[in-house]
Amino acid sequence: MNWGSKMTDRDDMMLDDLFAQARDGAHGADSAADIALMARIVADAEAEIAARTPVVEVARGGWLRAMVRSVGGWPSMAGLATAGVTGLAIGLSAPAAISGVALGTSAQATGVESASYALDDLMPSFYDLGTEG
Amino acid sequence: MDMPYDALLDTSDEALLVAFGNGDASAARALTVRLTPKVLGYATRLLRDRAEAEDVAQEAMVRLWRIAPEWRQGEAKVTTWLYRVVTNLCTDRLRKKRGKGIDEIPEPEDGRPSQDAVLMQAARMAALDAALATLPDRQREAVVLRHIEGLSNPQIAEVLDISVEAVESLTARGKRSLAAALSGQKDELGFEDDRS
Repeated sequence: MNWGSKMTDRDDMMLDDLFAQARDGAHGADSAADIALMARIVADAEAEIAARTPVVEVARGGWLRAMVRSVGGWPSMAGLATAGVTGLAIGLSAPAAISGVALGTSAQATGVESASYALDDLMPSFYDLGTEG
Repeated sequence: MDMPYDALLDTSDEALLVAFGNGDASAARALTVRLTPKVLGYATRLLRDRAEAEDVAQEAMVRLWRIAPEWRQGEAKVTTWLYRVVTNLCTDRLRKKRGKGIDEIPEPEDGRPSQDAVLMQAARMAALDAALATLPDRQREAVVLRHIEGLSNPQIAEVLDISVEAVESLTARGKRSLAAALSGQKDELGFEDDRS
């Protein structure tokens, strides 16, 4: 190969022609392969956007954990649960003494019927104990 | 929020890249349509292998997507940055290919003379590609960037990380080498031979 040779004008014209043809054909994007490649590149871009979007992690049970911690942890929750169940049981069974108190209060408030409470209204077992001596 | 399509046409590469960095997918589509043919054409000229050139083009664009959020405006042109990435990726692949052995590099195609214009054009392009393949890497990169991709010498200097004077020297030597490589095929390719 004649690497050191000087270029003639014809060499220059030939190369200019070849470069011009290469330029014309270089940047056409008509083939299906080009379009498929662009589709892959766009998919990469969309994946990149998705990867950049910060994922907001919803801490599952976070509010529950915070609440339990605020009352002193799970041992305290056991005490609270017991108290709650007891309250529910009292409400459902509605002992006569409590109903009586509630009704008496109501009657006093309206003034329709006077009422007074003896010891046995409030504490029946104490009355029995007193009468039996 | 995506930009309206007609706004994308007048927007610079850099503005589109910044928009993509802010999550605008339509900017990525516009950049893909605008830049992929350039990247693919350049990689194909350097590698002479369409499948490998596609891999390089995709990899270069992925790198562009990744750098988008940290892109420093006004420091470099997007195309210059991209040509540099493609040059490096192609250089790596060519080195590996040479490591495998010269037999695996495709032979220059036989450019038979034809009166048909289409066939002649194909033969000329094959001859040019074959001649480009005979150049040293740096010469080939400089010649392709200057004469086919149409970059200015300062831009090429930035892409190849060399001085403008070195670019001028590379392109001049590259052209001389190309002329020498093609000198025996002028007749076949329909060019007037100096001897005739």
